[in-house]
Amino acid sequence: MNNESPESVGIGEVKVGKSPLSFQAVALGSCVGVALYDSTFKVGGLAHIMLPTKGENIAQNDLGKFADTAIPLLVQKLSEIGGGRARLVAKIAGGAKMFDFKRMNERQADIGSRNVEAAKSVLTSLGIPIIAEEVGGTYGRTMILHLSSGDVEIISLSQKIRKII
Amino acid sequence: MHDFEGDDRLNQMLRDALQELGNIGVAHSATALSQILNRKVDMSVPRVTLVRVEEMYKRISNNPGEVVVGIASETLGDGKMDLLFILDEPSTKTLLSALRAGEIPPLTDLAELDKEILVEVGNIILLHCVSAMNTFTGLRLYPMPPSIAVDMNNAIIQHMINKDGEYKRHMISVEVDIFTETMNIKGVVFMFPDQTELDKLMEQLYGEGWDVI
Repeated sequence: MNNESPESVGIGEVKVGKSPLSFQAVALGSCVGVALYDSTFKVGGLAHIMLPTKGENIAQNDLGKFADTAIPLLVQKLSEIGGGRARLVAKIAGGAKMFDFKRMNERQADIGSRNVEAAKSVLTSLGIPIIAEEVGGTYGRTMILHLSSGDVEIISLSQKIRKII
Repeated sequence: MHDFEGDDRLNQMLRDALQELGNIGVAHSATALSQILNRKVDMSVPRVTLVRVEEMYKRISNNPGEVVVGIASETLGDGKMDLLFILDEPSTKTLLSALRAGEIPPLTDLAELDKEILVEVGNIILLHCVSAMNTFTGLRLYPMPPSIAVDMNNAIIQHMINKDGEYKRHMISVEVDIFTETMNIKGVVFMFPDQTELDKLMEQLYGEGWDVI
């Protein structure tokens, strides 16, 4: 594990790199973080996704915000630096419900769980196995991907959780 | 949604309308807070800005992981407006110590009672923002009981950005300083009025057909 502080991946960003780099998505709430890793060449990347699906008239530089465009973009960027699609594994985190509203007629699930579902279904359709997840709940998480090991560190300040998945 | 990056004049008119809305909301909140705190409360002229969603957390702190208090509500009625009031740790502590005796713990260890106090204060601020919108537009919006989260800055803000599953690029930020002779509290209200509310607001200020001038 390197001691340098991880590079930040903000909302809608998709970043890839090689060991010994590390990436972090700070304070995922209802957003979902998708980490992909190729352990053979120790390359990987992180996407900080905001919504399940891309709507109409979305600019090219907004593609990282949606699960259905961000994950394929992450896979493509990884292939450019030697990450073989067949070797990729995924770890996902986030998708919380930060506020609990008492509504009379909730028509659909909260956006956090919809983001998680969308990420899972895109990964499945690309044939990338999800080997670990830390999703749902009512609290924010910071997700750190260490490319030296493929470990993903999860930190929740409000729940005082710090663990590796 | 209006393209905030588009026509400069429209942009300026919308900004003025929102500034006026902010002024009224804040003036009313100050009166209500004076009653709770039992002392004279002044509020600064609110700073109204349109913020890109990626940059919202910076209105609170440059650290997206900083623990803050968020109080969120949304309206029913003639339109749906999303609202979020945020207080950072120093402001929360100042506010709580003005309202109750004893030590104030770190934010992540706040007791239920403290959270209830904060919800009440947040409720007052948000109620007056909605009431200002109603007065201005003639719409009838009813705010839902608010809900509180104490967590990382960016995690709380994400709720506003994507809760309806719709893609938003900008949010309206109303920043205000609340002060008395002995304390200074910085609070930020984020609002996301829908198209109906914005249209009504503009119509009241600029007359019908404002958008085709």
